[in-house]
Amino acid sequence: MGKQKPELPQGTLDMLVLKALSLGQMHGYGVGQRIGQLAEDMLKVEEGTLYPALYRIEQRGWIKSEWGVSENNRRARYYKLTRAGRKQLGVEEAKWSHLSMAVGKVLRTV
Amino acid sequence: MGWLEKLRMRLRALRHGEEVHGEIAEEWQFHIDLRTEENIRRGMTPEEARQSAEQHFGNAGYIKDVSWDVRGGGIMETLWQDVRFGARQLRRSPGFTFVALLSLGLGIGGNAVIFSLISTILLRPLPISHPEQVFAIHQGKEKDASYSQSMSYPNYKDIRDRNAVLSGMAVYRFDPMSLSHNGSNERVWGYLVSGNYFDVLGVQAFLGRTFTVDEDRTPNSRPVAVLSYGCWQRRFGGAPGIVGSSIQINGHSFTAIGVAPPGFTGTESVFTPEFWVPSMMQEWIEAGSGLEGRGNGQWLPFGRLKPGINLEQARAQLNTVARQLGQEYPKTDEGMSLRLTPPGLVDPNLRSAVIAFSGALMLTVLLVLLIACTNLASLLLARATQRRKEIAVRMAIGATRARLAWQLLTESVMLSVTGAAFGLAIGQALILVARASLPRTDFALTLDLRMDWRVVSFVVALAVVTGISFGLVPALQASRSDVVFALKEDTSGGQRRAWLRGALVVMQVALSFVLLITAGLTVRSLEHTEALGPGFDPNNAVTMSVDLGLQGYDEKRGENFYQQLAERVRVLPGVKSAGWIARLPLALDVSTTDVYPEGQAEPRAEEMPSAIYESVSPAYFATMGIPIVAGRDFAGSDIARSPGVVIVNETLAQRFWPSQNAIGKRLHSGNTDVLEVVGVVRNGKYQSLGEIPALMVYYPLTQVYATSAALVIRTSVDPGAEISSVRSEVQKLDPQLPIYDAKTLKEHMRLALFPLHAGAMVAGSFALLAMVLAAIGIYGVMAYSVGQRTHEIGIRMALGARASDVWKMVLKQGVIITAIGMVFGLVCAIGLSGVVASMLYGVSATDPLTFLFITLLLSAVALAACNIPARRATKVDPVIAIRSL
Repeated sequence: MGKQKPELPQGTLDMLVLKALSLGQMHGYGVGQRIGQLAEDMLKVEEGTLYPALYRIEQRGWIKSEWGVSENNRRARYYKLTRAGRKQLGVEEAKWSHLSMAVGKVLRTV
Repeated sequence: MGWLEKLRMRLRALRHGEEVHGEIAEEWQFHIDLRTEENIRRGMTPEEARQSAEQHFGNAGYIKDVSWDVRGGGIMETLWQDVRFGARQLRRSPGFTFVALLSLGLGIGGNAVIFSLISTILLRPLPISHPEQVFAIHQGKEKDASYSQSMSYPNYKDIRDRNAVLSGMAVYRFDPMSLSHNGSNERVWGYLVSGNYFDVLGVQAFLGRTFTVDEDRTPNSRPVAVLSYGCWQRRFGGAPGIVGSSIQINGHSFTAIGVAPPGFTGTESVFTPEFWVPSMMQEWIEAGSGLEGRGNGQWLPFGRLKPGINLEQARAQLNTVARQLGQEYPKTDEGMSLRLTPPGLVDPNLRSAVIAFSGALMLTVLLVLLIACTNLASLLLARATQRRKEIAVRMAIGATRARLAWQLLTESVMLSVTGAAFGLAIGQALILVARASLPRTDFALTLDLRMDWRVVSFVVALAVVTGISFGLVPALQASRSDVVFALKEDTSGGQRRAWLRGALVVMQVALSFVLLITAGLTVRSLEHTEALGPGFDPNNAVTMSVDLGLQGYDEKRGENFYQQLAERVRVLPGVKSAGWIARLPLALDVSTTDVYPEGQAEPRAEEMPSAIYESVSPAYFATMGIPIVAGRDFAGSDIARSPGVVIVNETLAQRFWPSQNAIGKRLHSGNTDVLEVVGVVRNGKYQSLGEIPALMVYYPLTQVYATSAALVIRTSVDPGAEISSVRSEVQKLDPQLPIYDAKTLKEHMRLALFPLHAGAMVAGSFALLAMVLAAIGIYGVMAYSVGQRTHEIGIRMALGARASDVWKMVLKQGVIITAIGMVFGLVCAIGLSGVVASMLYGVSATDPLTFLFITLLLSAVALAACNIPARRATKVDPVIAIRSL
């Protein structure tokens, strides 16, 4: 057993999905890959849990989906950030940096 | 995603679940395939690669559930499942479903009818543009509480032109008119209206056009008429050529210039005119002119508020104008005060009476519904007990309490909504019956009861509310059951529920007792009124009316006609006597006049006695069977040139000359000279059967002429047969003259009795309904209780109890429940007697006979309802009952 990867805190997956999709439209697998690359494989994401998250985010109107054709010529469902989603990503990023800064401060001072 | 898109997505998941599942599966398969390929590229064997890919994906079953929550049918899917399950359950117990639906249908049907009455009279807006801006203008005196929708023409013109708050103000007036069509004359009702009438209401002609203001400027210059849609359809066959053609009204030619749109029947909610004629044509329509005279308040005004003006601003400004007029014309207008009320019911008192009456009716039917719902709740409770095992099993395999309660609630709402559908059908049937039983009147009255959208939404709301509120307690009760005890057949929960059901039945019995008492008192009141009588003899008499004014008779010709016809009719075979009266008693309205005895200073306006007056011919009293208690009848010698005489009733004589002989005394009446009392007649009813004794003054028809009058004929044989022979006598005197309102006096009485009859019928049928529902409730509880106690009864019988003992035991239980309910009902009925007393006439609200009768009736019904399950209990076979233990 290697070094344990930290689990994602509750509610941050949505933000990561939005971030991944801000780089352009992508299918579910690609979203997982992108998060993995961006986190340099430091995070543990159970890949299946991406899908309920995608469906939930779509219902909130932050992303849109449609069937398309993948690089290897297969039918795949592609997700795309909406205008509302881009705005939401900004909000989440600001919130997150504020939170991590505050937590970091607390941890450093004691 | 907007809510609409979400709904679409949920519905898609619901209807095409397979497809949605397929899409999700495809998406995931794609994911796993890509991951497998990746793994193979990294050097795993295909077998390892797929395994690792699936492992990384996580618990697919769980993820699928979570995904379906988001993408699937969600709450709607649950609901749909519940509805299907509920429908299966209800189909499986048809007896329960039938009783529940019948109870609800009857209860809701009653509510639908009463609400449609309220909707018709009070809620349905006029079919005009922006009806909320239109108000009737009521005139009264600042110091006097009695306001009425009436105004003189000069005041109307001044207020119309001087006010700054109304975008338009118009007046109208009901009038009988004689319409000649296809060679026959018919007396019909129409409106005289100011030229701006249709414009102020914002009503466009269906065909042709409506009046212009110019058409109503100069008296007797523009004979034009607008027909109502109904008149055009009924009388002119809907012929499109009607516009521009000539119609004969009162023997004059009028040009029909247009047809009003269907549904528009003026501003009164229960009156339907045949046509509209400009107010300036009044002299052609009725004798005398109401266009002059500031004190001549015979027009009914209404106005439309300017946009942005509220009711209070309008009232204040109109009263400023009224005060100006009061200063300018103190004689007629001093103290004039104006009010605005919604249009539709001429008299503000009528409006409040209608509101009070329909409020009482609504309360009654809601009580009936409450009783019906109690049956529903009781049945649901019983079922919940029967279904305890099913519910316990479902809880044991993981259903939450909320989920179960939700499911049971869905069932009860399904029941109540289906019940509402039944109720609407029953209501529609009742409306047809009600329409058919309305009395025919000479006046163009219509009560257009309809199931409009207001009624339907009221009923649906009622159904949902009752379904939820009466399903909630049983649902919560059932979902609270303890799994272990329920599976082991514990009965303690059942006992608690049995207690609750008993309490519900007690309430039912109490409520139906109150309703039965009210109905019983209403019937007694009706009996009393009928027994007391109208003060005349309605048997063996006919009446018919003529309107000489419409035919252009002058006073001299008219008097001649009245006298000649009476003389000719008196000699007809079978006729005992005949006499005229200007307007029959107990018609819809009366005229009143100021009266005070001679030798007394003229009382101030507030204290001026007011008497009802009529003009009658000699022999009227004898014909009607009204005894002359002192003095004499009018005679042929009481003519215009001879001294003015009157006959008064006992009440007036008593009031003006207590314990003196009234004959020979004189009184002031209206604007006439001092009149001498020549006779006193027995009191009668003049306006309604329930009225308090009124002052009454009769003038001789030869001194106070009336342009229209009713001939009353007393016959010795079948009165109905006499009508045609009298009709032919009229024809001989004047073939052109229309006869209207020919009927027996008994038929005439039906109109007067209608409110009482209708009240007694409505109260009676709802009370009977309540009693039937309560009987169903008692029966249900007792039958259920016997079913539950089968083992116990079996043991008792095995130990030697005889069938009669068991019968008594069961019956006793029912009697106790009923007795408690009746005691509660008795207390309520006595508590309510103050309210009920105001609606009764001649009978006390705690009339012992009624109370006794209702107590016996309800007891008998309750015993009968208990008897069936009690008999069944005696048939219990102890062997079978104990073996099944």
